[in-house]
Formats: sequence, structure tokens, C-alpha cells
Amino acid sequence: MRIAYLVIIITFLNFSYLIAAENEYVIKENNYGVFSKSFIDITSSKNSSKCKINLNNSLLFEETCNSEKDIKLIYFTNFYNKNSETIYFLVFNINNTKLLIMEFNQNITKLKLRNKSYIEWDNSIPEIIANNSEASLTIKKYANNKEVLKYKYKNGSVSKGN
Amino acid sequence: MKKIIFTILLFIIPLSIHAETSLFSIHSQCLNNSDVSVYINNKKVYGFEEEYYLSLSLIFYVVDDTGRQYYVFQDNPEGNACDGADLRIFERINNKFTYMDTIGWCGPGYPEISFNNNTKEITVKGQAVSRYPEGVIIPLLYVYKNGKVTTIKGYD
Repeated sequence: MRIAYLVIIITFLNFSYLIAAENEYVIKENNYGVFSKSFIDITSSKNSSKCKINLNNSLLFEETCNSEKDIKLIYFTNFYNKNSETIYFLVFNINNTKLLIMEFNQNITKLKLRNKSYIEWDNSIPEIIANNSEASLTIKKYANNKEVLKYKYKNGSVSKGN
Repeated sequence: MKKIIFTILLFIIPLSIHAETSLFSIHSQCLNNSDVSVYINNKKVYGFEEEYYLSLSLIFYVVDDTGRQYYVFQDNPEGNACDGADLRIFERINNKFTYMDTIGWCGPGYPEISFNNNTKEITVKGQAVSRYPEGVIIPLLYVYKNGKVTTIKGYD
């Protein structure tokens, strides 16, 4: 009977986790005139060699890692594009080997993942310039104060040197 | 007694399986349309009172090569006089979160914000609608460096 309880509870917890693991993330609560709240909680949990990164308790992505802190949020922005959509970008440095660019659009209180792309990288800090109207990012790498690499991200695609 | 211990273990074991490290945690809330607060890791780090407000929106965050973090929040007063209002700039170093400066903002559309790690400058581009002559769109450019915002001449 005790084993049955244990199985039921663990199954329920994992099932709740799966329900939350869709590509939608609640980021706002509003009760006009009384209360409004915006929140972004990004957490990392390690299980064997994988880190699970959650945004507001829903799975964002998984990556191989040595430690939860090998994955860092280095950039965040949001704005309207020319179609009056609210676009969010999150950029993570993963294990000092690549950047993960995640693009979302906002639907009132939720973010929905639209695209994501990877760029090979190191531990350096990129200069990231957002173009609001076309919802693109220009990502520049510098060495000794000189620009040595440039990428452009748009709609999930990355091109080099534009 | 055994049942109590067993029940406690039932809840602790799954929780420990899902133990999490916070990478980024920021909340902004507003009570009664006037009491605005910002929280990092559930600790209040900034607040003010202003009537007819909603929670602040984090619109930009970046970390530099020294670990210093830069945050830009946009005010959200109720009503539609501005398409997004003032921009409040903060820095966080060694877990100390400090308000630095504000850019007065009432532009049509969101600002374009970028950060240069070499110069440690935040550049904010946008537009404003002039009153005289009425309705003319004028470009805006601000640079934030060393805790201060400068308006670039020719854009104001």
C-alpha cells in the first residue's frame, strides 16, 4: 500500500511537470485597480549530466553540463516589432562553448517560444544590438577592442558577417 | 509515528529530486495601482509610490565581463498618453542592486537598447513626437555610462 502511495505521488509530480513543460510561460498577473505583477524566474536543476532550465516553472531547454551554473543568462530584451507584436529575446551562454538565442512573442500574460538558434562561442561577452522593427539581433564578438566576428539572427536563422 | 515519517519522506524525496538553482529571478509588482516594488530572488530591492501605476516592465538586461549587471525597467502609468513611459536604469554588483538614473521617455514605440562591453556604455535610441511643430517625429539618442545618462546633442 505504501509503495502504491509512493508511485502515485511521484507519477503525479512528474505528470504535473510534463503539463508545465509546454512552450508557453506565464509572466504576468493583472487584477486592474488592485494588483499587477511581472515575473521572470529562470532556474537550473541538474540530473546526471543534464541541466534542465526552467522559465517560471516550465521547461525552457535541456543541455549537457557539469554544474547548474555553467548555463548563464547574459542578455534579455523585449520590444514591439513593426507588426505591433511584443517580442522577447533571451540569450544564454552555455558551457562557454555556444550561445543559445531564444525568441518569444507575448500573448497578454504569456510568452510563447517562437524560434531558437545556437551560435558557437566562448566565454567572451558579445555586443548584442536589437533591431526592433524587424525583430532581429546583431551579435558582435570583440578581441582587443576590435570587432572580429559578426552574426545576424532573424526568425530562427543565423547568418555570419551581415 | 512511522506513518508520519513516511508521509514527510513522501514529500521531501520528490522535492529534492527537483532541487533548483536560481539563474535569474526578478519580479515587479504594484499594489492598489500605486505601491510599486522590484524584487530580486524574492527580496525587495527597490520601490516607490505613484498613483495610477502598474508594475514596472523589465525591458533590458545584460551582464558585462566583470560580472556587473545592468537593468532597464520601463514605467507603466495607466492611460495612453505615452506608449511606454520613463526608463529607470539600475546596476547590480556583488548582490547590491542600485538605482542609477532615469531617462524621461514618452515615445511612440519601444526604445532600441544596446550595450558595449568595451566602453561599458548603454545606448538607447528612440523617437519622440514634437509639440512645435506639432506631430513631427524626431529621433532620440541617449548614452548611459558611469551611472549617468547623457542626451546626445542634435537628437534632443
